[in-house]
Amino acid sequence: MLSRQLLFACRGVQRCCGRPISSPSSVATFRKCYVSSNAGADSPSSTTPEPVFAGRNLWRADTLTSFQEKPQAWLSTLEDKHDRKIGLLDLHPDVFRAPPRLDIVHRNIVWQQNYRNVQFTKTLTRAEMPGGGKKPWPGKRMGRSKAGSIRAPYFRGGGIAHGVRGPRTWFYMLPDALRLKGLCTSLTIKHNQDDLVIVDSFDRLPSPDAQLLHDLADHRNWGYSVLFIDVPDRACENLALACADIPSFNIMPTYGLNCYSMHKYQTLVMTHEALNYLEERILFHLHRADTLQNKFRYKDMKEKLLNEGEGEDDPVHAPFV
Amino acid sequence: MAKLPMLRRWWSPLMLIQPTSSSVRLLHDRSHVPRIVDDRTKKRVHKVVTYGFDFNYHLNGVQRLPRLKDNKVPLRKPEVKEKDAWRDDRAFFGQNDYIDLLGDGSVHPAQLMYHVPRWLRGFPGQHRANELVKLIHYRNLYKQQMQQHTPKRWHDLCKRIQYLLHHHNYKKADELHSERNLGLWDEEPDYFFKDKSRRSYKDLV
Repeated sequence: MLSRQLLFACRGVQRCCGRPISSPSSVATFRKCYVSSNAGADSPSSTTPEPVFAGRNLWRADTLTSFQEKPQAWLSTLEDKHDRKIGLLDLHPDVFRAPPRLDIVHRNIVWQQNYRNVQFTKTLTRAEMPGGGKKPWPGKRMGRSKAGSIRAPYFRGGGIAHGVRGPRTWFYMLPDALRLKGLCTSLTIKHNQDDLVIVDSFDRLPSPDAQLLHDLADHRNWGYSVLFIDVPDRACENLALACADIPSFNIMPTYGLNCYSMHKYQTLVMTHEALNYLEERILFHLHRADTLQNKFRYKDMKEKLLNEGEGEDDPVHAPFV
Repeated sequence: MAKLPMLRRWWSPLMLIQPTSSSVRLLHDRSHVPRIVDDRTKKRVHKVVTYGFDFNYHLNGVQRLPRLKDNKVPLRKPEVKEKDAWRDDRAFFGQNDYIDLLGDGSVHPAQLMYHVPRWLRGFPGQHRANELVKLIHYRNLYKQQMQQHTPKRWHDLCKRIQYLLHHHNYKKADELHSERNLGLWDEEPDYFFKDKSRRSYKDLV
């Protein structure tokens, strides 16, 4: 699944999402098709919600250039299984139309897979093995090879000379520039391949029925696996109950988004609020004053990390190493 | 005169000779193929034995394994392990790895490594900080506790650090000045360093 996404990332099949809206006439035709007769926003869920036309505020986006394609996405709703579009959103080109740096995405995914690894195996050297202090037999006149200790590496049951030593980690951090670029490229890939779906809100889902959600996803051609992104940690009740029954449909908060998950799941469904939040956060870091090419220094975080784990240590026995 | 066809036998005539005290050495196989090299990463290669197997070199494919006549015992295959790709830890793998960028910046992913021992959280891995650096860091944290409660382990730790220091100082090549910028400890500048690349008595041209 992962390799399939990366392989076809640059196909760039142009569908409605990538087409720029330059003329006002196209907006007018859109208005004609989708304007609703009743404009009540607080009416019950059976009536259509307010369609969204107002252009989104794209912070510090280069709108004057004619060389930059302006990415757009449909805003739909989860009310019933038929895909009814209620708006068309402009997306920020720096986030959703970033140059497809597959090498950076690869580095991000490799980093995510490796930086948390720990190996607890340890082999003992001849000094650490029990016994082995005495010379087992004298060097001369025995007819045997010279031996200094029964725990030497050439002995059966002896210590290992250059073995695996103690708890070992593969920890390293990628600089912020690479991680942000990886996120932007992954979002670009998702949007460009029609795997990004933006929804007004998850609480519009009518019932906690898993079959309904499955039919909805099937009808809209979402894919086998779907990742729902929402801003708050607590998910909407109906969606949470429906996703609990389907193993490949999962919900994540916005701060949990990452390159590996974006490529593992075939479809990414996020709310309008989550889209605003993600854009704001990514753009904040892209335009922040201090450098993005920062190195992780252990001494900056040492006190915090050690203090957080204070209660884990036994007062008598130091942890095994 | 026609040449006699070369006899191809898997048994050598030497093997028919009864071993005597002088000809015992002839039975040893010294061909050393494939060559066994001490490779710590892989298991030791066992010499492949093909006695009795009739190779068909002109076959465009792979021959079936040799079998005794009328032997229908199936091959032993390992059991197929079905991996549940949507188990919780696999479905949410990598979550919160970008929490310092996408969250409010108060939490760093190094703080979320609860499965790693306390003194190794956020500590650079073996590719940057080797065993010596790791043990010195451990010693800094647990010196008092080990000296008081577990003196034997303390002694073993000191011995290991001494050995590694000796190994790195006498048996390994010197590193360049800033090759290993680990960011673990505050590095004092070398006050006695003098840049001798420009000297007044040498021509600058």
